[in-house]
Amino acid sequence: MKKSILTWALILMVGVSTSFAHGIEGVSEKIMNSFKKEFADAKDVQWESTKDFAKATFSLHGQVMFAYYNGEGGLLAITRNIVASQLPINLLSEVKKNYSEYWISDLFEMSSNNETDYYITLENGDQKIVLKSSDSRNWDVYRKEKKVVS
Amino acid sequence: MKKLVLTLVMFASLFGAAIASDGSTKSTNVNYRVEAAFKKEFAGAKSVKWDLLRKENIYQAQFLYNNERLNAYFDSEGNLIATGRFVAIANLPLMLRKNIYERFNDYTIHEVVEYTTSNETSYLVVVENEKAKLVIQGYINGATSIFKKEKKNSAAKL
Repeated sequence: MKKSILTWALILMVGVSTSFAHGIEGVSEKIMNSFKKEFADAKDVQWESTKDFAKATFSLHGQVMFAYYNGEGGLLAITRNIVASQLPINLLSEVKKNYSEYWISDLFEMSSNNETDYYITLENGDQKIVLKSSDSRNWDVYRKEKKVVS
Repeated sequence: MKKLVLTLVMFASLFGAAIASDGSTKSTNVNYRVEAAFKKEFAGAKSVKWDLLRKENIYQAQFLYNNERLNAYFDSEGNLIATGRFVAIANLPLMLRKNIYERFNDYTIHEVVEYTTSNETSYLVVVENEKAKLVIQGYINGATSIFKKEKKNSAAKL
């Protein structure tokens, strides 16, 4: 169950946005109450929703964050985009050492069920690799794909 | 207990001497095992300065690695015990940052140290208000505990 929840959070993040309705109208009171309880100090809150999920984009203590909810008001995940220098030192060092010829096209931190994972997308001319870290110390390959050369 | 002693030692040393900026220097004799272990772990490190924390028999290296200023701690056998570095508040994992702002909302965050051992990464966060200075130890899952507390002398205030 946990894995499927996290997968949904990732799907939401990487862009089902075209199917999201924008605005507060589609967001249930359960979700709103859950959000306000968890993020009482949130500012500049914007909502997107589908029939089953809602995503809040907001600023909390100067940091832009995203929170994902299911229809019951359950918090699925919280994410934020980061830059490489914000990675824990072991993760940063491994990227610099083993992927020095790649550029970083995406990097975010995701917190769900008391666990924090980091996801980084690295690209070169031939391939795109997504690495994931669940222990803040080592990366594992999450996905790898070759680029299509036209 | 050993973990607490090491954390205290690392914390004290990070807030102590500054890093050498004029090339490698040795303020203590480093045994070959420790030096070899350091070179293997941190190949390419620059501006390395060594100290021996005599009471704990721990070797401390202060250096530049991948453009980051780090401290690393080795035992006399050359085992890497921990690394530490100052980081920005923005480096705090999002749940930890959220919890610190909420639980210590009447304090100002001054410094953050990222502390990494073989088992875990934690953060030592120095916060202060007019009454006290705290060092909070926080973890990636957002858990916090007060590592050190120092009350300020309220009689000094007029």
